[in-house]
Amino acid sequence: MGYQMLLILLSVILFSTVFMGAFNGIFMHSEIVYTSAYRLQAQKIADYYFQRIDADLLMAQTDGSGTTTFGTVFNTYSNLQTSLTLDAITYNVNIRAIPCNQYGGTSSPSVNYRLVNTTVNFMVNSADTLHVGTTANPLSKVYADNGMY
Amino acid sequence: MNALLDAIGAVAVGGMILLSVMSGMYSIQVYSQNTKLQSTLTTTSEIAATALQDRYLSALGLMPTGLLSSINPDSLIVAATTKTLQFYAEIDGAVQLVSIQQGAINGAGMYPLTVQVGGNLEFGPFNTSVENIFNFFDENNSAIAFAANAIPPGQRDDIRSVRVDISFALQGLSQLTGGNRNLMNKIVFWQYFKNIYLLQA
Repeated sequence: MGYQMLLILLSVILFSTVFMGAFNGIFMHSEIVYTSAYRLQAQKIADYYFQRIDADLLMAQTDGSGTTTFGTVFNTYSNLQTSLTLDAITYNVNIRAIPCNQYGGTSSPSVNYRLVNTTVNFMVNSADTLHVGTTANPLSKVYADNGMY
Repeated sequence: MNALLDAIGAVAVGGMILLSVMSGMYSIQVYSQNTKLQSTLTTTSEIAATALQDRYLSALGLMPTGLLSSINPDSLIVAATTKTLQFYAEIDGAVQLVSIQQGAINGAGMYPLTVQVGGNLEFGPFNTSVENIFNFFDENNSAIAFAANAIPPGQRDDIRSVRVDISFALQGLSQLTGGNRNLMNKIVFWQYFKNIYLLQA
């Protein structure tokens, strides 16, 4: 009787570990899927700011006042730290605009070009902080002054 | 008698183990199925959002040079409501009426999102679970107020950008009830109408 009970207990332990392994794998997969949705949202937020800079430049070029120039538009974005809350998730956005050359290189910059680096970080379920773009590898775009002012 | 008690005990213990195993298997099936559907939903959301931005919304105000003198930039947007955006744009080499529309609630409790070009269904329908997807902004990034869920005709020419909040939905499995439950993926994106900026210059 004791031997049989031992066998039953061992089988229960064996099946438990199999299930725990399967659950763990599925939960990990599930987390990757859910965080990818948040990362996609973070990319859309970064895209929003890139588009907004485009719009600010178009405004400066088309309003005819001449008071806003390529350089002054980027004063706003030279070191902008802002945040956006969507569905209780706060996305922290960091934007830096740096003079650069036409290839985005910053070693010999020109006043006619700006490299805009954007990073977004956010926290899901008060657990891990997720990053879309990092200081070392940000989301980047190069803007050029096309002289339409 | 002892043998009978042993048999009953073995059946009870074995039954509990079997039930645990089956319950665990069911949970794994539900989780894996829902994760797979959620993955599909996320991919679909990205494809749909990108298509809406890159093919349709970014074309607003795009006009062939020959037509520029005959088109009034103020009348490019025909309708702008919380559920509909209708505008003229050059799509596939011709100026056509583009209609991005969230339809009425259907039998599944969803609001189908479609895109029609020149009166023909070109994209969708996609199931969305939350009504009212559009918000419009002027050149100062200030929200333009709706009147009866629509931007008044006199203010449509103030529109410079749109914020789109879409909750894509798919029917998944509910572990508690064994029935269906909606899996959702909300995505918010913005589109600035750069061609309008240039046309209004």
